[in-house]
Amino acid sequence: MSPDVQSTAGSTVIALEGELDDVRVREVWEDVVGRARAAGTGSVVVDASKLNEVSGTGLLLLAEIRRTVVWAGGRIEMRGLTADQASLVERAVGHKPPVPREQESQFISDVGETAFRVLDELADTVRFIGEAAIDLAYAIRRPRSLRWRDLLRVMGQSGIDSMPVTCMLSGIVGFIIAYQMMPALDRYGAADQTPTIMGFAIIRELGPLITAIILAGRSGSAFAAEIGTMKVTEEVNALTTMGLNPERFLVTPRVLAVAITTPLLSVFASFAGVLGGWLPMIARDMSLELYLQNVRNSIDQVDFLQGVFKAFVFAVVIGGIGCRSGLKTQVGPGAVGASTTRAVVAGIVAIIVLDGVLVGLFHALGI
Amino acid sequence: MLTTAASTETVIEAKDLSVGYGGRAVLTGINFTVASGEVFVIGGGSGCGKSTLMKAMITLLPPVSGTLRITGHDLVTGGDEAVQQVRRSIGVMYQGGALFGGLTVLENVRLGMEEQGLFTWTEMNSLALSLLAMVDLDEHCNKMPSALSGGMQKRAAVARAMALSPQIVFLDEPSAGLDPISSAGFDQMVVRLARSTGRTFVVVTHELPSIFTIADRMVVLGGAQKTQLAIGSPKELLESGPPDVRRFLARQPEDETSQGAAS
Repeated sequence: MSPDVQSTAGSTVIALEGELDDVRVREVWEDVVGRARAAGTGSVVVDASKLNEVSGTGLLLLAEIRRTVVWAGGRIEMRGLTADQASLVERAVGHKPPVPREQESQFISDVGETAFRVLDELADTVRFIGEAAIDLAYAIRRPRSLRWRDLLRVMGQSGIDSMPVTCMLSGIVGFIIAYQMMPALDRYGAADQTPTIMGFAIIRELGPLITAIILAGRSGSAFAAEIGTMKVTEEVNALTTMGLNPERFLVTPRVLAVAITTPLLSVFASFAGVLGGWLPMIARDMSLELYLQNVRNSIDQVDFLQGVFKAFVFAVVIGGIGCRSGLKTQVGPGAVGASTTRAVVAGIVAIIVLDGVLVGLFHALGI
Repeated sequence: MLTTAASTETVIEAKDLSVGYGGRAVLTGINFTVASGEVFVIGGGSGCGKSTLMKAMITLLPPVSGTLRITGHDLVTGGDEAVQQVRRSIGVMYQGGALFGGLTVLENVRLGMEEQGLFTWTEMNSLALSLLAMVDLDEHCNKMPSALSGGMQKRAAVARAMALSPQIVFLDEPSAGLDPISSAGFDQMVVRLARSTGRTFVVVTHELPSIFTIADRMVVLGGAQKTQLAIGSPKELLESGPPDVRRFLARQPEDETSQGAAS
């Protein structure tokens, strides 16, 4: 049933009958709105007096007609609506929504802006870690200023609690490396050199690196989430207005805790990695004593200390990045999650890049 | 720790003040003074800049221009030194309480004193207990904040805000999220604390029952006008304030017909 429409010069009358329910509205929408549009600046009369029932969608249709006519500069009259319905329909004529401007292609400026932002972030991170290191030195000189309870809690979480997973991963990586390397070394009849390679690879490199990656995943993310939540619930603001420095209060105990536990953890991880490397050697009838003796002969104290030093540097960087991400948390429901993700990704990227730099540095120094 | 000074010394003075973010003013032309011992309310509809003004007053947001003197230190020209001085003379209760989740209620209250280092352990504990007694929470002193109801957390936060003998206590939306009875109880507590301790209270709220219960004087901010609309006691403003302010205090939305005519 189509609406009864009568058009005379400059005047259109749209008469609607029966029920204006959802189905009917869909049937007549285009027809009716099209006719209202066709009326241009003329006058339109909508006669709703013969309608039995108007649904919510029906009122939307009436509102659309009214909006179409008014925007086109025409006049409109609604007949047969109750006062409540009429006032609701009248509200529908607001202002024309602004047409969104076409986004111009900003590829080049976007690239530039991103580059500057990344550089700014980098500079800011380096500054933050530097400040954290200064606060650390201050805390060591004045131990009373330290939050001991936080320090011990984080040491437990990042040290003892991380031990099983770190040692397990490191052991498996040691096993894989030894297992994959033996056929290659066999070609040169040098499979008995496996302990030498394991000593170098695990103790100088992989032990500290695996420990640092676990640290980024467990503690870096936890720092960002804890401090980020405190930021969102205004606890960081509360510290500030109490005159307590949030950096010293929240960052120092956390960074100090991981700076103490990570080098220790890395020693355990290296040992587990070396042990893992022994497993494939069992097939070659190499005893554990002999294997360990060979590993021991391949490295010296400097190699060992290099690994421990790396673990310390990684810990300060990951702790610093995690805390900074937390303190930079924005507002909104996804903010803490975003901070946590940033802490983990930035932490892992930073330590791998830094590892490359340290390798170059140690080489240049002849260590 | 408590003083009952009833002098009429000015503790807060805002003159031609503009506040906002990143140097862009959200509010301009703010002028008011708060006398010592007053309960002063910053009121206005949602989005009118109440919280922004409060953030500037509690040193979390540098003012854009004008004068903002808190306990004699100007936050516009005074730099870092003034900021540190002001932080020593204020206490803040944040909207959700912002209690430190890892510390008990007592430890939360004691924390500022520990860092200040003026008192012995025993003194700090009994001071913190007395503060908690003032907000009826002394029997819950060893609970963690998560074990307290929202209203209790806010009361604990008031005790913490008052811990370092601040001259001014700021309360951010104390009624938010409280049922009417708890909210009324909180208002009575604020009045009691203000009268008994002689401290100045600055309260940000849009809850009309609270405003009429606690406020000695208030400033009403207008979101659309981006400035203050009126200043005075709530009763005065309800009777003879500007139309917008009277409407706000009488809880009348903008006239339906005038809105229709405007479109």
